[in-house]
Amino acid sequence: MSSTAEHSHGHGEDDHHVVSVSLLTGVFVALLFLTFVTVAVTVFDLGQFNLFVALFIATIKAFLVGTFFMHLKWDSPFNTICLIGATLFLCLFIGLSILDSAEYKRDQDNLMNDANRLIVPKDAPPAPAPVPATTPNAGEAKKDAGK
Amino acid sequence: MSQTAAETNLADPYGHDDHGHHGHGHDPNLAHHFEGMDQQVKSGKLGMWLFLATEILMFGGLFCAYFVWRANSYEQFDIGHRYLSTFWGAFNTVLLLASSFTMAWAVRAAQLEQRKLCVWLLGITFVGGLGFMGVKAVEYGAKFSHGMGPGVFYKADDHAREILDAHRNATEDIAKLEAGIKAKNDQIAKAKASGGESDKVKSLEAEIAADKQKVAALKKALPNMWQAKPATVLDAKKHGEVEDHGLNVAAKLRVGKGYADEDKIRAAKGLPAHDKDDLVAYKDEKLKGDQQYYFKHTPEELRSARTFFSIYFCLTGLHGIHVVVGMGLILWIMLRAAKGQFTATYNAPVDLVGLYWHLVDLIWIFLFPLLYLIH
Repeated sequence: MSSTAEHSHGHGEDDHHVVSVSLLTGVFVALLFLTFVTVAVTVFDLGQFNLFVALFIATIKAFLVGTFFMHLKWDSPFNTICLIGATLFLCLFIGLSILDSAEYKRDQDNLMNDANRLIVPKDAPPAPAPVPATTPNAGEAKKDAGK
Repeated sequence: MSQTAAETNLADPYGHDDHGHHGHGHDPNLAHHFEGMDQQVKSGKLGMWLFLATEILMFGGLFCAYFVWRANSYEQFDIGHRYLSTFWGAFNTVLLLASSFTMAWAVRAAQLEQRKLCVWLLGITFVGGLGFMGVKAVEYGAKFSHGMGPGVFYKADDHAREILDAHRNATEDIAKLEAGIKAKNDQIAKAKASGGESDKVKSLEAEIAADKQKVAALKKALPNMWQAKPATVLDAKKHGEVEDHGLNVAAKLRVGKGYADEDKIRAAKGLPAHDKDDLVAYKDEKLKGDQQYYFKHTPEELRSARTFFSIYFCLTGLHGIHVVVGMGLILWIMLRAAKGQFTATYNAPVDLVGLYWHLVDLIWIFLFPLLYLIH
């Protein structure tokens, strides 16, 4: 029954595209394989590239889910623009924040020190004083940001 | 629907001929402000996609927090992720992928009017979500019982300090008692050599017996102290080995690849080298066989990892709320599908709920490596 029904809805309108079970299964198997790869690759120490490899694999998986499970391949391109637009603005948001992350380091360190001071036992030595606002150690922060 | 073109024209005197090439005519599910089912479906999908875009941006704020904190204090992410189970994270990933697969198939079944199959597939999808939340509940429970909750619920460092203090106190008590026993034995020997004082010898012997019992009790309790509050000791089955940790950790630490130079790194940063009495045991589950050694975190290091767990709980918590909402929607769609409300032309609700569920999956695809697989 399925083949005739598929054809009766297959003419013209993209929104009615029926995805075949074999394609769905293929995508599912590919997603499982990529999940295995993303776990397996953590055995290798690639330094900071581990993060990029993990994000790259996740992006491929997201592409597969979006294109086939979410029907974007057959949808109006405007839906794809919504997704890619949101993702691009997200990348812009996160990218600019990371470029600026050395600016937050001082605040973060002070926050951590304040939090530590609250829970340090009475007999423990005092927590290190917060870094003065006038000496942001940008070089060190940049080095750390690379990890 | 089963209406013919002629019936369509009667019911629709203004003639939607140019939109009627699907032959679905005036579907009762067609809202009056749409020209036809096509336009309705397309508008609905566009609306859903706009909503999904806002969802991505909402998660974006938390992802941004993740990346900025990671860029500035990577150490705590490195410490924190070791207390998350890669196996259960991967298991949940597979669960969500599988439920996404059955969801996509359910959309197909709805389009083809395969009613029974559609209900079954939606049911499997729902169970997948339930399994995911079950695993998440166990993971959350373990984190809280280890004192690794978000914000004010983070007490792992206090727990670690308590364990260390209790362990150290017990060790000191044992040493004192054993010294006392030795002294009392000397006294007995002296008393016997000088002859007489049998009452004193008897009372000393009784004291020694009592002290020996205390020592035995303390020695028995030592390994259990790690077990009593496993704030930082992950593998509860192997606490006997944890006892051994205090003695051999320095040697074991150097066995592990990647941590051999840890003390060197600490020295470069101006931090004191690890004091072997001030360590908390942790078994690295990623390694196998002889490579399985106990990693160590001081209470100070554990305290520094608190923000990682706050970010972990915010990200996975918001995601978990989405999973629960998605499960509710799937249940609703399943009941409607069981009633036979979806047809070849009207199945947009299944489609749109499917989109929502796939987005939930998509976000987890990024969360899993970012939180569980930090290297």
